[in-house]
Amino acid sequence: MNKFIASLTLLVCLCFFAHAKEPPEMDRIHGLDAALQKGGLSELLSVARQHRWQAPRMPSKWSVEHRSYSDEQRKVDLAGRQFGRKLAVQLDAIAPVLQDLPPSDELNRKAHMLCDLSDWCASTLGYGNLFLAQRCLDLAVVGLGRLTASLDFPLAECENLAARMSPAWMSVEARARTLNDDAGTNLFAVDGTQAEMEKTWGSGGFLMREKRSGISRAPGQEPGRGFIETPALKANLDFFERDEPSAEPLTLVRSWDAKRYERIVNGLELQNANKALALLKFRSVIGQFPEKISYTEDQLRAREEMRALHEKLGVEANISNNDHVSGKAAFLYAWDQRKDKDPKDHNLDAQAWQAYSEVKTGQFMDQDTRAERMAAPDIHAQ
Amino acid sequence: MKTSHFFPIALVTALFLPGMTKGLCPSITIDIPDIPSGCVGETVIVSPRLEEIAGNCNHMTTYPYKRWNWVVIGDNIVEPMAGNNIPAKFVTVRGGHGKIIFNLICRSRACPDCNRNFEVEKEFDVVHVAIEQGSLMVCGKDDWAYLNVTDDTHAPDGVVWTSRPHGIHGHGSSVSFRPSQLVPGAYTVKAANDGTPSCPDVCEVHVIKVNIPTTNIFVCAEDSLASLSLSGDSYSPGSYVWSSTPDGISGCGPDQTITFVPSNLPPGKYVVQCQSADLEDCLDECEVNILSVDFVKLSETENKANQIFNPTRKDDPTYSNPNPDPNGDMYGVPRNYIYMVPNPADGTYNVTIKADIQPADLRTRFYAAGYLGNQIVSGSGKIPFDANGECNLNFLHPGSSPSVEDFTIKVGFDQNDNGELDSGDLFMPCVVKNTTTDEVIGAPMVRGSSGSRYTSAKESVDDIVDGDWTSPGWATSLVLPHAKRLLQIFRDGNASGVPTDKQPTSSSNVSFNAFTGYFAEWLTHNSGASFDDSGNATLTEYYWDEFTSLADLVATSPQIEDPISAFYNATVYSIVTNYFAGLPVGTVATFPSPNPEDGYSVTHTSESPSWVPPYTKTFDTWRPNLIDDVNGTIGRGRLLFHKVRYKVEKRETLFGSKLVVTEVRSWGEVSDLYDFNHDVGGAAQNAAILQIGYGNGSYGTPRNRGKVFRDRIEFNKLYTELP
Repeated sequence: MNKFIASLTLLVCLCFFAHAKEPPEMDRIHGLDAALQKGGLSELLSVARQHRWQAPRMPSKWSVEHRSYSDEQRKVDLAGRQFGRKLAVQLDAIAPVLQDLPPSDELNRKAHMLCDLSDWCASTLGYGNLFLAQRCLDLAVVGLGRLTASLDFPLAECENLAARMSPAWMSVEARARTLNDDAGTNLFAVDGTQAEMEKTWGSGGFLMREKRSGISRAPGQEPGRGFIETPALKANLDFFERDEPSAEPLTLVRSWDAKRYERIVNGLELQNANKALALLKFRSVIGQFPEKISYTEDQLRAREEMRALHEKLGVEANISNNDHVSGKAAFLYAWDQRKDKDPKDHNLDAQAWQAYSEVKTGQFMDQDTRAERMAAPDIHAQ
Repeated sequence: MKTSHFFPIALVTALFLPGMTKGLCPSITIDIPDIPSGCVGETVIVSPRLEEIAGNCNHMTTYPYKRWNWVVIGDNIVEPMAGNNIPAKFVTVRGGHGKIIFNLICRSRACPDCNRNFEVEKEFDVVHVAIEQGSLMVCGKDDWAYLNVTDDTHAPDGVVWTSRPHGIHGHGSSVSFRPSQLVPGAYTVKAANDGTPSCPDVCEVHVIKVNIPTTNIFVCAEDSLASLSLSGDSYSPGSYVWSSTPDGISGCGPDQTITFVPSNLPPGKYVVQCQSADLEDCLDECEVNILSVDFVKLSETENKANQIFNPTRKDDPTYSNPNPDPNGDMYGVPRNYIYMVPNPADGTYNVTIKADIQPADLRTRFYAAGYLGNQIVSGSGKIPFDANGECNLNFLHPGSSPSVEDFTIKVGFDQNDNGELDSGDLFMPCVVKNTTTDEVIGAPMVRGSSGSRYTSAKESVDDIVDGDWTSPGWATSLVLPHAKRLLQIFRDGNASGVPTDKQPTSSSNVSFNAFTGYFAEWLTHNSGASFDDSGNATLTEYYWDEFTSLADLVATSPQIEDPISAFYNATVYSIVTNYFAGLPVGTVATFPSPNPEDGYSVTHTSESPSWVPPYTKTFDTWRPNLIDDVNGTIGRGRLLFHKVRYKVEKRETLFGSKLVVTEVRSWGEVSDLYDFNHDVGGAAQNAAILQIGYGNGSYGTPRNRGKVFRDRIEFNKLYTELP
């Protein structure tokens, strides 16, 4: 019955929007907005799938103000941004749910739903689309970390979820296309490397400041190696103007109107994702999360001999007397015992331990929640 | 007014005895001439004139026997009072009115009936004028004063008063005058009978004046000499007596000026009194204000923690002198300077100066101003101190001056009371002292970077973060991958823009105190955080775990890596050889133990004095500063600990068995306070200007860059041989 009423309401809304003879994009945005307001994130995804609606384009505020070429486009852009802001607010609301749910299929479903939403957001080029996609994924990572830390939850399910942690929108190409879209011109090479992208960003900033200061380069003082100076760059120096740092906490909702190109240039990878993946690998290799070291009798005897030798020679050695070591040491010890050691992974235990300990202490949380807590006035500084 | 008291005609009396006379008795007429008035002490001779007309009584024509007697009646005014010789002669001894009575006894035996006694009398005056006051001291401030004659004064014509110099005059037994209307000095006053004789008397009248022409004087407590003078018309024939409340200014003597030594006196308000030694009630007083300005603190108004004098014990080397100072007096910047940028709202430097100003009730007449050399900065010096001795001072960075200027903060007393500090005022010495040693450091200074300098600093920092393209051939993006990211975190106050692989792995809030807290000894400028007035702030501590590239950078720095082999050779090798003696080839052992937490503490020496937590290390790779990533990231940091563990295997070689290190694990932690020193110059100065601009955050978005933070880098490096 409820489903019927909801569908009817949505239909009425859609009819109303169609009757208003607004552009098709506006209809789509209004429809998505109505679904979001009515049924939250899952309803939004459901409606989007049902109608095969892509996410609306969400340019940056700066882009709307400086690169929208018609009133109609500006209207659509603003509506898209408004929708994005509401979506960001809804995402904030799900953050505590991901902390509260036990490691279970429900948590897994939520994490996958957020991955779906992330992919959907990124299905349209747009500044806000990228940040929303990242935000969704950051929330999904909380689920991944918590599920992985629970040995009761199937490893395979964790691996399925983990496979979604390196989406295509993180690539240089996707980020370059997004920045170009926001700039309204091709500033960044879409087939370039990360280093080239950074150089383009740095060169643009340098040119912008050079022009603003009115200082002309002396002959022979050409910029350093790798400097990029294209006509497009020189014609779009305002793109490289940056906002002053905003007040903490720097969350997506609070920075929705900000100009955070630098973040896109430098990459949208998530540290939590790396930690969760390290934990997953640790679990798959070691099979457990050790909290103490079990020495053999021979090892214990050898340790006593070593202590005696050091005492005899008068060398301070800090040899411990018991088996109670920190969890971090236990991870390290276990990791050192693994077969097929890859030197590149020699510190993976530390990363895995950090994820594990954060999960166990409730500190494995998404970036925005962490930022909010850090900025809270009653924070207990150490 | 009476002119004479003498009777012009003598009274003639004849005693007649009727019935006994035979014929006419002689007729006697006696005339006494007028006796002129005289002054006391004069000799008076009175000769009665006798005229006898012959008679015919029994052949007697004239009396054969005549004898005179006289007596003076009148309050013992003469001596002798009686006699019988003619003329009568006496001396006046007192003033007064008298009467002399002559008695003539005429006898005749022939005509007893004609025996007669004649009596005549004459009045006279003895004039006497005496002023009761032998001399008189009067105060020039008095409205009225009086002189009077003595009771025994007898001035039949009245008393007339005159003076030299002119000024006191009148008639009557007393004279009144107004000292306040007389020129101070000595007057000879004469009182006399207003007729003849005058018989004058004189007295000295001193009109005394003690006048301090000013009610307040202001002197600086540092002065070695000051004076206080009476007005030129002051007069006291004896001397002047100076005293003060409270004690401190005193003296006695005829000079009209007293000198004193302000520097020997406690600052404050002294009520100084000068009185005539001749007439104690004749005095004047004024306030002597010994002014002192004891500098207490100069701080940025919006960020009171950014202050001088900063009492914190410092281990903050200067750029030119990096050697540590064991006394903890090594400051990276001069200790009488605060470093500031203007408030973006109005372009002014907002400074609060606090001073112990004495006397306290004059504090609101003191002003502070910013000076460039001897030139007051326009708009400065118009805001007074408040009653608590604080002055919130604002001044502009002069448009024509260089981008960084040193402003001297001067304090003065608005002596001309025109509501601002100018050349007519009394400038007070105001110096910053070391609050521990009392050593004078210098005048309070503000080293200000202009608004345009702030902008250029901001852009220079952006250039570095973006990749410093200004140097041909290389860019910071290539050679300073970590240093520029920490700079970015410092610039933005967060790590959100930093690439994920350079981001800290976690962060937390830590309490920090700029004066006493952990790392306070390394904070060059008390800015770059939201400090409260006591210097408390919450800093972000960023933590890079051992799996980060920054951890690897630190682990492979010469300061960490080099001691690993040296320590093995110097300390561990003897253990290893001892352990393996007699053990077969192929034996493997971990030293000191396979326990992951066991390790040798590698010996390090600290570059800092012993009171600084160990171990201070300057991290660098001996490459030039601009391309030294670890130096740009940490520079001078604190190695909290460094441990190492070695795995050794006994192997067979062509030359016999050999002990081979097959694995080395080196781990530890480095911590640092990420801040900058303005005076280092170059890129560090640019960053320091952002830090200084942040203040405590109250300047808002335009100054929202440059936040200091703590960093901790945990490293854990695995080697397959000795590095």
